Amino acid sequence: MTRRFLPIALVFAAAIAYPVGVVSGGAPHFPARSDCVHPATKDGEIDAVFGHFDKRSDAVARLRVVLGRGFTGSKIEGDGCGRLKVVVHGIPTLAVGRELAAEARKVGLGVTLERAAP
Amino acid sequence: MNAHSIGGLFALNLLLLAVGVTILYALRGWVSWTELARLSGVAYMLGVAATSVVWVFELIVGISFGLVTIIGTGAVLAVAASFAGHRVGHRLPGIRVGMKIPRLSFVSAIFAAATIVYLEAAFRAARLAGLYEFDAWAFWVPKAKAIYYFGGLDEQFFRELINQPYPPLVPALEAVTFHFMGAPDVVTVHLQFWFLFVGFTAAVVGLLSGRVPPLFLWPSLLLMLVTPHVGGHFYHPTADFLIDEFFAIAALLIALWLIDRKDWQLLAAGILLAAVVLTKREGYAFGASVIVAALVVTARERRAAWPKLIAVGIVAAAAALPWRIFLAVRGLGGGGPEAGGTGLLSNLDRAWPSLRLAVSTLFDYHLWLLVTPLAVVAILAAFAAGARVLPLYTTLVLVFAVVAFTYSTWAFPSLGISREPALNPIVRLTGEVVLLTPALVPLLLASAWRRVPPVVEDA
Repeated sequence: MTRRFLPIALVFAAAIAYPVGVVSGGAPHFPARSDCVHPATKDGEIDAVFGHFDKRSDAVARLRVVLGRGFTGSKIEGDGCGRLKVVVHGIPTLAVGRELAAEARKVGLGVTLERAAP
Repeated sequence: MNAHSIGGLFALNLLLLAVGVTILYALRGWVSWTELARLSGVAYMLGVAATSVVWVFELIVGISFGLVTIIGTGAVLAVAASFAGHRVGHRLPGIRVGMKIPRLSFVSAIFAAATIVYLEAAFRAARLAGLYEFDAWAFWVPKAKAIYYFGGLDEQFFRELINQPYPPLVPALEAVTFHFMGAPDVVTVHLQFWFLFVGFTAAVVGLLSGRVPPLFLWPSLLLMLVTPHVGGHFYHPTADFLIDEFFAIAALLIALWLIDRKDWQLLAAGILLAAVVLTKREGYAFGASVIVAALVVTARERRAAWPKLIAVGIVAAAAALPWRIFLAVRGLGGGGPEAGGTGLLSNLDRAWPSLRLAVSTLFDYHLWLLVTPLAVVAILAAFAAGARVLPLYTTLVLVFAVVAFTYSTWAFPSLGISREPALNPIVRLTGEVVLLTPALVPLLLASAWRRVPPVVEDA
């Protein structure tokens, strides 16, 4: 009886041990759209992002507002996760980015500083 | 990219398995539930093949391709196959028949455990694989997206894409996965190809376990699994591995028919070969190679064997007819070779380099480890032991494969004499032989060991 069940037990043990071992390190991660947003934490290629949008019409509306309030050079781009973002590229340092964000806040615009996509 | 998508894929593959089980019931039935469990991989591959072929026909005739069509097709196939099985006298065994746990040797257990862990690890890789393979993002997946969004083969879109003449089985299957996932999720779609590979593996094990010694079956299977190119590519959403999976099971079923002469094996091979010719253009050559090989080895019994083999070949070839007519009607061209026919003569200087490339790729250790040498050794061992039918059949299939690989480079002068995937698809093509090896090598070694592999319990 033992000889009959031992090999089967071995297969089941291996089949269960691997996923248990993996899950013991934490639940499986399911990528979300937020995974395409990488906050800038150091100087370098930084983007100022005026929002991520599901619909192109919403992105276009925000771009008009952003351009109308003086942030020339803003444009619409895909964010790599199926959404669109209104973005200004080429901010060299976090300090410059924070100044830009402060100016945006003065005119009622929210900005996030994000690491530019490679 | 979420659990919902994965749940949808599980539901789809349960549907395909259910359809396949009814087809198996129609073809052969089963004497015990243990036997059905053993053959569940074959049932799944039959379900995928038959359902996908019908989906392709529906796309060709312009039936709106939505969830109702997709599930309705599976349901109609399942009901028709169940009815056919009942009509030919197959009956389900009692619940208690064959419920006992099968005997498993320690050798089988160790290799089965390793195989399961390998596939579990591959699940993790496939779950989050990006759409980076050129052919996948250039035309296979865009075609699937077009079918998903437009509900059919949109004329303008399919005209503007590259490789329009490629048969649409894989795009149809991918469009179905998008419907079951609820979105054209180009990441999770890789998992569907994991399911297909698991089905292929289970089919090989199911058809050979109990028939060949575990030491012949499992190591050759595991060797194929761990080859660098298989491990890194089988879950890409292209047609390259799926055609090899269909083909290897079809070739194995024909090999088993050469031993057993059970009609269900040929019928099942016919269904799989129909899927082969609708998966990629080289499917015509693949399908012809196994049929011709089987015709040659049955030459002495041609009165009994040839009509059946030829019928299988005709049925498989006929499956491609609607697609060929569709291409002609839309004026999309047949996708023939750049220098076929007499064009080969004007490119004679490519013949030898093409052959050398085909053979050296098959034996490339860094791609396929020792899979091809193992096949050659198994053939020689079977011949040396006095076996004739199986080693000759396998030899012919391999020779025809090398001829086809050579032709694929020789007849397309725009392809470089190179293994670089961007220049020549030779690496992907040679997967045919590599996936065939774990299916045929165990039979060859068994025939070398004791001449004729025994028939296992059968309906």
